[in-house]
Amino acid sequence: MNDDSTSIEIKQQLSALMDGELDPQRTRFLLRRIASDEQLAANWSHWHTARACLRGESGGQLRPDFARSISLALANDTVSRRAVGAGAWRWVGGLAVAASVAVAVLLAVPLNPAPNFPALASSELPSSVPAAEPAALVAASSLTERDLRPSLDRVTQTVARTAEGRLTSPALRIDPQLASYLLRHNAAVRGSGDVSFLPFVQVAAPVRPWSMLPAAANESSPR
Amino acid sequence: MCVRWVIVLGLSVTLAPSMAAGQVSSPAGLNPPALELDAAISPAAWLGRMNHALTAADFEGTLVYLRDGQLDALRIEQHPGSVDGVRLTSLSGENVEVAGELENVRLTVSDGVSLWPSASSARSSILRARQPPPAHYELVSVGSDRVAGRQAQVIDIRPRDGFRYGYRLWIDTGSSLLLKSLTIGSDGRAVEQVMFTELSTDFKSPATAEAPPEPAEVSMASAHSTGVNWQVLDAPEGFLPTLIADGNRTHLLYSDGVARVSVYIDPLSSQQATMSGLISRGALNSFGRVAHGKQIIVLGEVPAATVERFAQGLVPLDGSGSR
Repeated sequence: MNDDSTSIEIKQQLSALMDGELDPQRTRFLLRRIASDEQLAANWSHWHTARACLRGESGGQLRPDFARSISLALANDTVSRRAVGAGAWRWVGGLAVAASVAVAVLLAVPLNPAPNFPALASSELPSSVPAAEPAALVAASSLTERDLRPSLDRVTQTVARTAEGRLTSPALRIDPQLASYLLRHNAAVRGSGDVSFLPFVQVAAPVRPWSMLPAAANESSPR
Repeated sequence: MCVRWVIVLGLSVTLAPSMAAGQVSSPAGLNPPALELDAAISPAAWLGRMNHALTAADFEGTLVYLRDGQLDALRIEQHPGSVDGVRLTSLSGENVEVAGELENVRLTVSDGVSLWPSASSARSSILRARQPPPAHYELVSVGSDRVAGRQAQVIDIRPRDGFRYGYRLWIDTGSSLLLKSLTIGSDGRAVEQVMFTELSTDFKSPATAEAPPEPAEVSMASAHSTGVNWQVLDAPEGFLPTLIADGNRTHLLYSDGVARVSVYIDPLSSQQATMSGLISRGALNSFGRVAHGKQIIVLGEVPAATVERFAQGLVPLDGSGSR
């Protein structure tokens, strides 16, 4: 068997493990291999991230010690299975392994407090960045953004969208009026010669209707 | 193997580089090697280099943009001196393209209809003011990282109050181009992220970026002498006017050294619906109101409270009406 076919077989096993379809013996073998094979560990992480993206989950990265968590779950499962014996219980044991692995993976994947915006956690810090509190980017203050809002008269209208115009076809999500102001703003900033970040990104990025966003299921209107 | 994981496997090949770049705490092997901080270059100098590169560098690349639970990919090309100095094209969702330079930039959407920023030709006066120092931020070098296969210096821009966002910037140590940015709200959460997944450039940042000629320092008083008769009362501390354009439509650009806020005072048009209230898109907030017979629009990459305060604080100089 050459290296390519071995690699494909290993990746098939990895995929089966993610599906909970790998038998316990191969699971232990694969986890040992993941622990010593950085590339394989990276694949595992990427697949989980890709799956999280496909499911609309952000921040679903695995903790580095996920393999150890799974191994521990497997070790515990081994003890329990030995205790109950073989035979028909093997089926039950197999299910327990799958459940243990699933629980271990769930524990290894950090729960995201905000599905849309992952909190700035240590996972965002570069490797050489000293550990810092998540909110370290903002000066310590008891005030929140809402506290700083001026107390003013209520606006007389709700957020208006341009109702007419050649750009507002059903397929088009861009509000031409707002886009025009955005273009002017970006052009002015770019022309100012001051420090600026990447220009026009917010203008060029497509705008999807709120109903297509993951958070829309629990919200009635955009923020 | 499940069919869906065949798809995931294929996707992972595409997504892996970008994911790896943004996911630092992934398993062993994904973490970039720690590099020594380049202590000789201050954070302010890095920002200066970045600013120079963002206008002078010839580059092409692909970036991903995450905001409001929406992830999109865009292609960006910048060729200084060409007709279309900068061009951005959406690679996901609706086909949107922004191309041009400065006031000749245009937005083109799927059906080929282009939108141009109107009003600039009608200017009767323009004043540009000196950029204020970013006194309301703390600039910190926090380390080094690797993004899009390139070594990056990581700089934090930490705001001192809630009227501005915080930023974490990954700046290419070779070209000084911005490789990744993370915009942080006052609650410490990421408001939006932009990251190159691939960047092609031969640009080498000079050791000392040539500073652009500084405009004269102007005050609102001198602006008022040109006929701009609007002022913002109780503007958040640190924001100063840096550009004032007046004509049939007035544009005031305020800056605190990092964030910019545009204030537009436009005549009401029977052709367009008025804009009123708050609109948010990622880090961008805009607040509209109709007052004194004008459409007032305030927008910028600042928290909602900031644009709201600007919009509600804008009054005509002659005091002809209350807020």
